[in-house]
Amino acid sequence: MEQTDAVLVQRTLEGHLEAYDVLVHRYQRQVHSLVYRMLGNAEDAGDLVQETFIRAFNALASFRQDASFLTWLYKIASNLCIDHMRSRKSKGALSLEFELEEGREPAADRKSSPEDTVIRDAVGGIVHHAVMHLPAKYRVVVVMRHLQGMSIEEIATQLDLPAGTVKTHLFRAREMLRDRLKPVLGMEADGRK
Amino acid sequence: MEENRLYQSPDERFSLCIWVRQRLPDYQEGLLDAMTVEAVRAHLSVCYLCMKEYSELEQTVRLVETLPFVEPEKDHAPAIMAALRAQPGHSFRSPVVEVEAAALNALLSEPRSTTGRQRRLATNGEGRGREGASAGVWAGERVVSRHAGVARKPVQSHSFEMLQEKERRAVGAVLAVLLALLAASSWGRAAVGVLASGMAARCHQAAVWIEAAGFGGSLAGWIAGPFRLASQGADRLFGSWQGLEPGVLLAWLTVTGAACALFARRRLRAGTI
Repeated sequence: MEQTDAVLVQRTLEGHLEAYDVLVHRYQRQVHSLVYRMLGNAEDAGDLVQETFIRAFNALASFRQDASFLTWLYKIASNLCIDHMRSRKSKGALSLEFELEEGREPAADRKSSPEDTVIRDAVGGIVHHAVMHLPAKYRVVVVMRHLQGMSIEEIATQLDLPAGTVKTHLFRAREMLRDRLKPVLGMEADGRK
Repeated sequence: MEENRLYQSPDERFSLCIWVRQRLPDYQEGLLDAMTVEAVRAHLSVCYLCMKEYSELEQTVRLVETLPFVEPEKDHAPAIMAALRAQPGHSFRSPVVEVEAAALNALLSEPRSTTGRQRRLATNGEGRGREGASAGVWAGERVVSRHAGVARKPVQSHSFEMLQEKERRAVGAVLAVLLALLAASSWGRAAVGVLASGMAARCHQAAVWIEAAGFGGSLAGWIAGPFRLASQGADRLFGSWQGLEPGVLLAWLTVTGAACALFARRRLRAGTI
């Protein structure tokens, strides 16, 4: 019988590392998917997935047992992604703020992995590409809202932004996505006829 | 022509379209009140352009939400678990549990037979208290709070770090006195244990000091034994030693107990015993 997250967390807190191993195996795919959507880079995504689980382990005693463990992991992962995007400046890339101020597209998809290539082959690849080329602050809210299913209030709390700002970002992000996905939207409309 | 009848003028229709389009995101999110929802819905049912825009927005969101799941290229679990095992103090056992375990072990065994298990528990009680559970919890708490932007209430773990100075002293003193009284096989050794425990109460590293007290008491007992025999022999030979014996013995026990406790603490901290 499969053990619940709460039981595994409790066993981990009691010093049973193998229980945490089960949690890692259970959720690494979801966390990887989220991180990859935010960063658009498979190599960085792998590093941040590991960092997410290590930080979660070290803060496990602060985890509220009544909350969802996956949601908690998502919070840690998305904040790591935001920090990572902000630190790109020090690695020679454009900073998040600069990208935002200039309205430039973020430096995602710089490295092309087999994972990237496969995704681009499908229609989903076009959508993925459109999401990746949103300015970072728009991409973050789109991923949180439409891929993580977080509410606007939750996003606002997590990003420390007013709810109105989050809504504006979301609105503009959708507008940009709609413009970029026009060909795909047309195909979908044709397919319906 | 049919739809134009709903508006008195083209300008009015245009301003209504703007009003509706400004509310489309909230309409999509279900954030509008019932009356506004009805107004937007009525307009969408008669305005082709606004309906087209809304439809495209909906399709856009649907496309994003149905993005395929991205599988990781490799299993990250081995690397994560290796990193966790490598980091110091990965156990979550409470420091107090460790100290209690050390004290219990000392109580259940002869003080002089300080086992490796006892010493390990005692030193781990200190080490993990700082680096493991306590620091881990606080560091993690800071990480989560900073990232999540939520000021969480700190976790009230049973750590000596959480206690006030007076409370730390009191806990250390009580534990050490109990240990000394129960573990010592004679009142003389108990006195040495109490003396050492007084010193233990003044420090924060109660686990080490409790261990040191037991070890010191035991060692002092061994040292005091021959001295007592010698003093008794001298008493028989020279009657004048009789009045001096208790005071000298107490002084001797005090000095040797404190010295042994200091020595044992130093060795324990260095991990050589």
